Amino acid sequence: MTRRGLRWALLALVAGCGDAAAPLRADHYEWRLFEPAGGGGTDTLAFAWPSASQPLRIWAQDTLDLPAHTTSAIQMWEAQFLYGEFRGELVTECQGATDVAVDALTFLLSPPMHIYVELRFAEGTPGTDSCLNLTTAHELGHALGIFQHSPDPDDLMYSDPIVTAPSARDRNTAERAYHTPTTIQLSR
Amino acid sequence: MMHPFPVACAAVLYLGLPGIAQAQQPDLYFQLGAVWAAPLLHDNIAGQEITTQQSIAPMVRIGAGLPVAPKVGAGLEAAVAWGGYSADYAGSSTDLGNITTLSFLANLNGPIAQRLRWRVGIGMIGTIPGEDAGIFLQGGSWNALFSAGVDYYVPLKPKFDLMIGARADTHTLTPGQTTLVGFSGTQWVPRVSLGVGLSLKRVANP
Repeated sequence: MTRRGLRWALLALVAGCGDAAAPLRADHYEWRLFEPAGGGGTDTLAFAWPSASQPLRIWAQDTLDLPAHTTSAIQMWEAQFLYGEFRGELVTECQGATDVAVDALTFLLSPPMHIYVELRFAEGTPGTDSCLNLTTAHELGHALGIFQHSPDPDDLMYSDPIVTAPSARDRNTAERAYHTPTTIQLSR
Repeated sequence: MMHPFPVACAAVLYLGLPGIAQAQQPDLYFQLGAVWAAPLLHDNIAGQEITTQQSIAPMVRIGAGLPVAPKVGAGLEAAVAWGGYSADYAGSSTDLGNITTLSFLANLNGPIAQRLRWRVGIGMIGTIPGEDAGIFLQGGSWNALFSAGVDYYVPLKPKFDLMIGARADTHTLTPGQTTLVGFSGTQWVPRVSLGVGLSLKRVANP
C-alpha cells in the first residue's frame, strides 16, 4: 500500500470511530420529595423501581376502561426511556394488595403501590375518556418515582395536567430519576 | 421499508450465482463465524455513564464475484448476524432484546501472497431491532458500511478450499429516537468479524 493510501486508510479509521454527543437533559424539574427529618434536617425521598422488579406488574380495576388507559399509560412511559429503565405489564390478577407505606425511619416502600383514579363528574360526560387517559398516565408517573408536580402546564406531571403525553421535560426528569441514587428501598 | 440498495444486492446475488458458478474463475464462498461490534451508543444521564453494547453475534456470510482484471476481482458479499444488545450502567446490565444486522458489500479483491487475498468493500448495513423500543423506538435503519479484510485459502478438496475470512468494518448508526431526544453528531460503530467456510476452488489459486 502506498503512503497516500495509508494516509487515507488512517483518516478513514479515525473518522470511523467517532461518538454521537449525548444530550445534556438540563431542562427538568424537581421530582424528589424533601421531608423534615428529626434533628432539624431534611430527608430527600428519591425512588426508582430497580431493574430486578422489571417489568412492573400493574393491575387495573376493570371499570371506566381503566385497563386500556393503564396500558396506554405504560406504553407512554416506556417510550420515554432509552435503556429499558422502566418496563410495565398489565396483569389480570391483583395479588397481595397493600397500601403504599413509606416508613419515615427506614424509607421502605411496601408494594404494591396503589393509584386511585376518582371520577368527579358523571360517567359519559364528553371528554371523560381522554381525561381518564391522561390522569392515569400522570398518576403512573408518580408511581414510577416522580413524586413532585412540574410547575409547567406543558408537562404531563403538572398538578392539573392538560397535555395528553409526557413532554421532553417529563422525559428528562424521568430519566434523571432512574439514574440518580435512590433513598427509598423496597421492603420485599 | 427495505432500502433499495440491499434489495438490489440480494437480487444480483441470487440471480447471478448460477452464472458465476459456471464462470472460469468464480469467487464463490460461504462462511460461518462471529461479529464483535464496538458500543452502539454512549450516554450520560445525571453523571451516570451508560453504554449500549451488542453481544458477540453469530454470523453467516456469502459472497460471489468474478475477475475484472488480471489481479483484481469484483464481487458482492452479504452477511447476516443475530445477537442481543444491552445497556450497561451502575455496575449492572439491562437486556434490551435482539438485533439483526444485514449487510451488503460491493467489493474488490486481489492477491497479497500465496493463499492470501485482500478484500475491500463499500455497501450498506441494516440494523434491525427485535422490538421497536428504547433507542430503536423509531425502528432500525440502513447506513453506509466500509469494510476491509483478508481471506486465507487452505486446499481441502479437489473442488473446494477451506476459507478463513477476517473483516474490519465501520458504519454509522444514529437511530431516529436518539436524534429525537437530542443526540447530535454521528455515531460510528467499528466491527470485527471472523468466518470459516468453504470456497469454490479458484483456478488461479495455488
